[in-house]
Amino acid sequence: MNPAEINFDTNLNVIPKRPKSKGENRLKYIGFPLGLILFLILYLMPTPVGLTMEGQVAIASFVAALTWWITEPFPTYATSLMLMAMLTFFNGWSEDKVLGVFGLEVIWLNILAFILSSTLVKSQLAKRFALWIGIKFGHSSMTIMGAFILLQLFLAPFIPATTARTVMVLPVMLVIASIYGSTSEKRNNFGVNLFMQNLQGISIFSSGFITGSTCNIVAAAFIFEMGGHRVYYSEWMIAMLPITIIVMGISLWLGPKFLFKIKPENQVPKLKGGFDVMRKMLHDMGKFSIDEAKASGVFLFVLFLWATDRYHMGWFGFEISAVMAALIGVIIVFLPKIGLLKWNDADIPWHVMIFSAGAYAGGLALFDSGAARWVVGNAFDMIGLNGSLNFWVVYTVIITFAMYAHLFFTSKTMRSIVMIPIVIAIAQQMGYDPVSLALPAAFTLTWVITLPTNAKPNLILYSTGQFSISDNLKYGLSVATIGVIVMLIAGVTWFRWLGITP
Amino acid sequence: MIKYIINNIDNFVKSKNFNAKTHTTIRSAIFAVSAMKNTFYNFININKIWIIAFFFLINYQVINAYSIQNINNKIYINENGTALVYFDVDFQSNGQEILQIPISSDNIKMKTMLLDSEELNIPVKIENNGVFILSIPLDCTQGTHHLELIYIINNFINWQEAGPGEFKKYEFETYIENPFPTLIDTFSMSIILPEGWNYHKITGSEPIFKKKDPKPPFILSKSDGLSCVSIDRIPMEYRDKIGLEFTFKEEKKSYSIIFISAILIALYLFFFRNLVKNDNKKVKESNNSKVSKI
Repeated sequence: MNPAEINFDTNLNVIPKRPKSKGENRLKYIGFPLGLILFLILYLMPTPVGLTMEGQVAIASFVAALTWWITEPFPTYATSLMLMAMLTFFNGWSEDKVLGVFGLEVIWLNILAFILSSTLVKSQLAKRFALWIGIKFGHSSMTIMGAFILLQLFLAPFIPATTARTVMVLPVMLVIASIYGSTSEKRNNFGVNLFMQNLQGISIFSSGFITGSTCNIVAAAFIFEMGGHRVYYSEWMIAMLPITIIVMGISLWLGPKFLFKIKPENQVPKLKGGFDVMRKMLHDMGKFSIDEAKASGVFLFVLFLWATDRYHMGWFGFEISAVMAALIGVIIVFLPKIGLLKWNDADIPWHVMIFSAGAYAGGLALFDSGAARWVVGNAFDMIGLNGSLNFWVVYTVIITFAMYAHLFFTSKTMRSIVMIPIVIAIAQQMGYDPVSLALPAAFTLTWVITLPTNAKPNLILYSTGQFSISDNLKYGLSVATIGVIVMLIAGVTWFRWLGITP
Repeated sequence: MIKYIINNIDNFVKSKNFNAKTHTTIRSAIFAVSAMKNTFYNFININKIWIIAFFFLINYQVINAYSIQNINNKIYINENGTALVYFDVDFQSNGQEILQIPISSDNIKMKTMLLDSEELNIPVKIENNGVFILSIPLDCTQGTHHLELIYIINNFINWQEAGPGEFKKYEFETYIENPFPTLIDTFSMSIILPEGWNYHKITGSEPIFKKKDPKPPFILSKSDGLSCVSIDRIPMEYRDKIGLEFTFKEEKKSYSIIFISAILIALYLFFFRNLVKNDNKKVKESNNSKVSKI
């Protein structure tokens, strides 16, 4: 790694190419016929007892789309569009409702959050911050690892795209790793710990904020639409942020002290001149620019509005929702002279928006038609579960399943769309408040930390050669298990005190 | 003044957990006073409380001569637009009286009336006070009785008005309101569609289905192979409604989709055969390979 080759630029609207493996190509080949055949079977069979014809179409369409999302015979966004078409053509949900999904709060918040995050790139605030952290805390292995965790904590509320966060921080991480003698050719445990902890920090801190990931926003929207409970930004943050900090604190200790012990000689910088390159880059950026000041101001203002959402009514006599707070921020950044962004600078991954809208339409159609409830109810009847089952047994099963589900379903948003409506239906079926199970389950959605294939940031970090798949599995499974334990303890203590669990 | 007193008494009654019988009795008295107050209020200038007490004593026996424990209403819709209705009523009688039951239509033709399994041949009357009320003069002993009614409603569904809408769907709604202070402990309603038809969506109901409710108040089932939706109102108080709004359509589906799907599958398997043909050859990159997991 040549420190001079650092590149902070990223474009979210351009989908990165990833070659398919032999197995993936085979899956892709059978995926389309399989999805279509499943659709035909479910659609043409006599309507099951207890289900409406609309519910039958919703199930058939969703199962076909789920098959195509997993096997990927088409791009995921194309499958979402197909799902919307199928729901409309086969009368699984009305056309106005299907198309109306794109206007829902969840999509708007996504778009606005991505525009806001573009200001970090445009103003180079993220680059300056990453360089400053590297220089300031880079002289000791533990402090620099802790500093990067703090950096991820800082970026998580502002940037819902985990890939963007990874790409922003990666160059500085590579420089720091090489300074400590860890390269792709000859890695050491410092590199393993640094990269694995960032991998975990990117994912785990995403669960600390409702805007930390698209899947959180989708989950909160489901909880509101289906469970009738509006999840406030502050409610989410107060409930989950302490848990993410505790788990990452444990991870910071667990890796270097227990799983991947760092040799004393690797605990101090090895490469001479590495910090000088970073200092030069920071120096070349010049003084803190007006654009950076503007970006900081807008972010702090929006963050303030998000964090104080439940007090707005008392202060202003009306409530500024998360989406409206983001909208105000976006208005400011687009204003001439005051703002710092032009439309062409706004980096919005429209394919994610289309994918989310289609998947969200499918999930809502399942709920609105009563199909989700029917599926869960029948599943419960089959296994003999009923309302008398202890809440904590159900809670433990759901949290454990939700935490490890990323091993089988890689897409966070898709897991949110598939799991959260089902968890809400389970809660309703068993007579519990949907929030008590759905919100803790939603908190675990972003914890995609076990394998490089779990998420794009993992793949990007893995591609640096700083850790192996077995390293990832070992560290990831350990932290995920700690996460389950902390979530279970929080369920009977912290969440109960906050009124989330009974 | 009387209105104020009545409202207060009614609120008082609601606030106390009286049993259904006591509740009904007190409400009956309030209802009686409420109904007659306009007539007498302008003429009798005495203490209004005594008027209430007076009518309470006079009207209690008249209005609350029976109480209804259970009504089970099954409506079989026919393809010709008529409906065959089964009405089972369990009631507690205090003797000779006129049993009044809220129904959904006045256009009925009585087929069978059985009181405790014995056929009745008596004239029935249907009043329309915004709510259709079936009045049946009964001569029965004190105690619990079971009344079975079977009647036909002509033009229960007006097919022209009901549809067909988009996707050949038909819309329909039916509600029954309890216009009496008499509490009905349980009112069950089932609507059964003609053979070959099924419910597309239940669009509304009384009791209302709220988002946070653990289960919808209605249940979809099969009754002798026919599509059925049932709903209960427990208890059904004064001015409470029971009913359903739904869309329904013929269950038959077009099988041309199988033919179209077979063609699509064949075309896909042919044009994308390179995905599995030779694993060593570089697979031609499709648009999909550019997609990342989100």
